[in-house]
Amino acid sequence: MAKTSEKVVPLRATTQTPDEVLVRCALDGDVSAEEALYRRHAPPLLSALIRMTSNRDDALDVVQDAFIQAFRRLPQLTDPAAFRGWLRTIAFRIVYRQSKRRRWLSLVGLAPPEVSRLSTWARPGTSPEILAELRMIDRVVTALPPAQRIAWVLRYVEEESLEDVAAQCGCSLATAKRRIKAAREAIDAATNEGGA
Amino acid sequence: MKSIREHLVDPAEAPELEGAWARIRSRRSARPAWAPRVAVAVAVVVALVWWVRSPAPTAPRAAIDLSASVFTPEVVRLDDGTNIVVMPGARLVPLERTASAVGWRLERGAASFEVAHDRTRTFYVEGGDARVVVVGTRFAVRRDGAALAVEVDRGTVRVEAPTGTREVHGGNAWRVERAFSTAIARGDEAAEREDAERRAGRGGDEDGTITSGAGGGRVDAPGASGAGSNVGDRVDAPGASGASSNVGEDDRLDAPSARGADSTLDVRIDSRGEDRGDAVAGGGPSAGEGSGRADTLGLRSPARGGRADAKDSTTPTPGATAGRARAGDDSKARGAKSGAGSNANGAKAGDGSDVTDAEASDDPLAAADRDRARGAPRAAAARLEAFIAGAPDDARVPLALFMLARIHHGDLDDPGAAAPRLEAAIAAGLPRPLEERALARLVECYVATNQRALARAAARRYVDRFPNGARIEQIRRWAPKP
Repeated sequence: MAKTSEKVVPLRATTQTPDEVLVRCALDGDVSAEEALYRRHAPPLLSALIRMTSNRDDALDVVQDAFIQAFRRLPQLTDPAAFRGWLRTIAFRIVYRQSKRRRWLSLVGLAPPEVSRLSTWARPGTSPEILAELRMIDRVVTALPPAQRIAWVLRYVEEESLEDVAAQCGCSLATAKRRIKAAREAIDAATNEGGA
Repeated sequence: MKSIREHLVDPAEAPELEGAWARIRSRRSARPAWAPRVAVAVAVVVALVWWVRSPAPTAPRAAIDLSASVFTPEVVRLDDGTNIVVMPGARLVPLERTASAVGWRLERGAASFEVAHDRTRTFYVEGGDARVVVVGTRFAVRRDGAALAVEVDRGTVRVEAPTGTREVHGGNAWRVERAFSTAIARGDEAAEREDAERRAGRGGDEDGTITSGAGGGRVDAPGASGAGSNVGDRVDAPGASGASSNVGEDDRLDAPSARGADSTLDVRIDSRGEDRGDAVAGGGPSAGEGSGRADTLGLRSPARGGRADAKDSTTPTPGATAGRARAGDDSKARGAKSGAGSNANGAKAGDGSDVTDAEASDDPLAAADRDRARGAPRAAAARLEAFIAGAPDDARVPLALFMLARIHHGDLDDPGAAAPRLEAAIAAGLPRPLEERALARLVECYVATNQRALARAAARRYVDRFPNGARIEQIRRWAPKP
């Protein structure tokens, strides 16, 4: 008697497969679609998180938590094509919460303070002047409130648009602009101070 | 402050991400310890409620209309112990239920039956012009327009057709069409020869005789001669000329024992033109626009040997008949070579081909065709893989990918491997007729591998791109609802 095929073959998602299709497949329980989404979006997210948290292990943890949350809450994603931004929103919200917690813990001496280390990711051969400027930025950014720091890093390191910064920070555009402006003013002040 | 990114390296590394993915998978699949117990408890409660509340199933009732969903078969257990599986997309309607008879009509698609033994009662299934009467057996029935195919797994059924009545025993398959019946017998070359000879007018009654089938049969396309050739694509176009030209265009007989019957099949189709066209649902207006592949998007028996897969125009047709018309997309795809039609043992076909063996040997695609024709699909696949890897920029790569996908799907029965190659072939740019076939086959591959969302997405692409495509009716079943 004829039988229908029941074997499930892992998806070999091509690079052409759009996020929208992969998300729909993942919603249908296709694990390989989840993997394809992970392989597409995890590397840039991890890079951004490492630059943001300056801690590779923390960044990896955030990547894991972000993807687990994203896959778990995938049915809530109204626009499957917007998976990237949605994922980053989840990830940076985790970073924000961790930063705030660490800030409080560091105040009472239970955790080391969070330190920005953009200068450690400088390309080989970067000029001493640029390195010095990056170290100065690190000092200023380390002192910024987490919300301002995240907004500034997204805007000037990750080079996201203002709208994307607002979306990924989960705030309004005006709030995002205000946070970025405050961070910029702090960095400009430090620059002027150093120049003087 | 501008372009800070330019001064930074990318800190992410692949190995870390691999490990992270493994941890994500394990954390995703982890379930709380109480989850299985709760699941079992819920299942028990549901089962109890269902058992208490539901009356004993007594189908067929007057109002029962068993229509399986597009994706999942409908499974019905009658109170006498009979099991019915209505395949996806099929529709089974009850006709009668008395002490002496239980009857069903298969409106469309396929259904399988495991009938409880009951000497006092007749169990039958109607479809088209034929009726299948059973007493204690297991069998499957497929409806293709007016045609009815029966595949008996165990026991015996009696096929009653206008042209005669015949008992079909376990392990055999039958196809009953409007005017005649066909034995489809894999592994019994004598029966194949007999059937082929009768079709060629050299023996037997061409129109009414039901020939016995032997060995493990398979349900195949309408009008298949002897060895189970899939002619669903061939005879779709009503009219003699359309049917004839389709023969060479779409299908090939892969089973070595079937090849001898191919030319006789041409003669038969030419001579029966309009009848055959009427007998098959979904007749297309022209060659290459046919539909109705017996094993496309439907009841498919991949495990059975001797199958005849649909030929998607790129492969020279074995045993090509002189004067056979080739479809336009063939010539687009392969140029003059597409009409060559080297036969099964590598000899040139007598259809005016100008392709020599030496030329074919230089052409990896033609060589792969020959490998495939001589029953070495793996060699053909390896040859094509090597060609694609060695010349990724060659203009024939899309076609090679398509052929490779067909080999994986049709010959090696590995739709999972076929799907990405079809995707790649489509992305690389196929001629439009081949793209249509590739998309249709892609849907089928995704269906076969249970990747339903991808199947729906591919079907959507097909519908968008080929709203009047040859396989639109089948594909529409998979396209997402608007």
